[in-house]
Amino acid sequence: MFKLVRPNTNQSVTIYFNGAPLTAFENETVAAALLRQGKKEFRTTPVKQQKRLPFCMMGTCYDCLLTIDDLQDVQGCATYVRDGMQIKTQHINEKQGSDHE
Amino acid sequence: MSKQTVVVIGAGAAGMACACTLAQHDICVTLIDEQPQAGGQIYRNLTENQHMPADFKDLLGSDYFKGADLIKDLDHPQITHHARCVIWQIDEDGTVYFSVDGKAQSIKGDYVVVATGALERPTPVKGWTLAGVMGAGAAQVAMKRDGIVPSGDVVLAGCGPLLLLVAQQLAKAGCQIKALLDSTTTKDHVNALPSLLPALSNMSLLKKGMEIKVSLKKLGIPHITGVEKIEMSGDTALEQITYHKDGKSHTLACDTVLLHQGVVPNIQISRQLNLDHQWDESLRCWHPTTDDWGQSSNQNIFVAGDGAGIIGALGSQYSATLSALKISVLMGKLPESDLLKQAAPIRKKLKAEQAVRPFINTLFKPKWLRPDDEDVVVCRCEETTVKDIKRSADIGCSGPNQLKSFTRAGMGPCQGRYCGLSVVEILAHAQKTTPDKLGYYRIRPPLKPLRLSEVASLNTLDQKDA
Ligand SMILES: Cc1cc2nc3c(=O)[nH]c(=O)nc-3n(C[C@H](O)[C@H](O)[C@H](O)COP(=O)(O)OP(=O)(O)OC[C@H]3O[C@@H](n4cnc5c(N)ncnc54)[C@H](O)[C@@H]3O)c2cc1C
Ligand code: FES
Repeated sequence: MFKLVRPNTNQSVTIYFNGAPLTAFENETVAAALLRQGKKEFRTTPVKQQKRLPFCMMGTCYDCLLTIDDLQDVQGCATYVRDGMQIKTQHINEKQGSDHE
Repeated sequence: MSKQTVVVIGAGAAGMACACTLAQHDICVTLIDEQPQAGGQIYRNLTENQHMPADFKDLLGSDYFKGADLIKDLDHPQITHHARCVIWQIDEDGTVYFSVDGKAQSIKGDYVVVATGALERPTPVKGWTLAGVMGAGAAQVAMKRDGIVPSGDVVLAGCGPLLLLVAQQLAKAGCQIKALLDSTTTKDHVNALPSLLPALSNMSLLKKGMEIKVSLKKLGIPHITGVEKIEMSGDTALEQITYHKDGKSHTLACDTVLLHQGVVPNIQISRQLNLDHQWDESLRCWHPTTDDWGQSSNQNIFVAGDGAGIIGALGSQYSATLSALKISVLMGKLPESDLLKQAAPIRKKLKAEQAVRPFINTLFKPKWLRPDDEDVVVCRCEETTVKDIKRSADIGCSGPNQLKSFTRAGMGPCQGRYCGLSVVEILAHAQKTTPDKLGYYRIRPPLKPLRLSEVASLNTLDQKDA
């Protein structure tokens, strides 16, 4: 869980996480918006189905992959929120292929 | 004919300093970075944070705001800054391929300066892949960029100046820091003593280090040194961390663990370019081989800043300025006879930054590089374990590239950024050899996963005023 440590005066926008609306701020990364709302899982791993959350926050580890507006494997920490954005956790199984929530 | 151009990759301390110096010598610069704003790691999101309340600015610290001038100087008619550009390939002739908003472009530089900085060194310990465990630098990125900090019980673990700095910053931000588990030992202090004398030429940096330590005490952070081993556990996400010290183990319940063992050069681009690299035995990482001006084994390519070897923010700035001066001579914009004179004061400042590194490197020697525990995941992407790697070594795996085909380690989207160093440590130990003999992963383009639609849209970027 994360919390804001300084005011965010940017305009608020609505994003959707697995279909549920969430409030985010313009110029905020998808990863930050989800962490701030206490989300505990971005994806599960293809081999061991482990839950993952962002690890590097700088676009290099690929642990924050999400499905955003129907595009798979988008880095949550390197993507900025947009009003109406549809974000989904990603469960891509090595054997069965993609299975989104 | 198109104007002569230098492409600078990375708008951090190094890239900015390089671009500004080139521009001052009337050279056209294309500065490319994947972030929306210039600043790199240390000066991330500085422009926005200048307008934040005083208490937030206070915890970011005065060093952070020192980057403001560099960012301001980028506003120069000779500099074109392309933000949000992901670089996915560079050719040996200086052609750089990148994507912006899903569209691919390319530009050819007469010279290319690679200033892509550093990454946090991987800390492959049990449970480091659990949700709730991240880098200490990662938490700092979230704080600088998005203004968020961990809200539950936090434990920081590992070693290095950045770990201590982040502990201080988070405590000031009101985070509940349950412990700072520091692997630094009394022996490290003793070992570092001989390199203290040369380091004294950089008193300001040493003083800063002392101030942070005092501040950690004042802030009431339980700072436990000499931690030998850590492991995180939890059912589906992080629940607790266990640490071992003096033959005893202690367990702390926590919501977030922040790991850090220093930073290492980000060598993806220099490896993709097949530049010569060398193994740094004390830092246990590779860096591209360069001359005194940052020129690499490919004479069109310079490497500057932390990406050429860890030197810190100021050192990065100075090394990049030297590269810019040399390129100015090569492009006929600075008389060769003026080079040494212009470089001398900068080289002096760079020397002072270099003088303190042996002390820092010895004091903060990373300890958790090669896990004994066989089920520790080493490659986060492909979930390759220590056992998988050791088994491959047993059946004669010759090095990291063959390991890819044996285990898929290093073949995921991060391209080995977070397993490469651990893999060679484990393989080298198993085969009783050294990492520099084993070599590193061959890095092939694309440097970051690319969609077919992006490749199809490839456009050649017109050079400024061409
Ligand atoms: C997470 C983290 C936090 C840090 N925090 C501090 C700190 O608070 N204080 C401190 O003194 N030092 C800090 N450091 C150390 C830091 O490396 C140096 O002090 C300094 O930032 C180095 O400057 P640089 O210009 O070499 O690299 P950087 O400042 O890292 O700049 C490199 C730039 O290259 C860009 N880049 C990299 N790869 C690509 C690509 N493929 N395509 C496009 N752009 C790319 C990056 O987006 C970045 O902006 C931190 C390091 C890390 C990894
Ligand atoms: S958290 Fe590492 S790539 Fe996004």
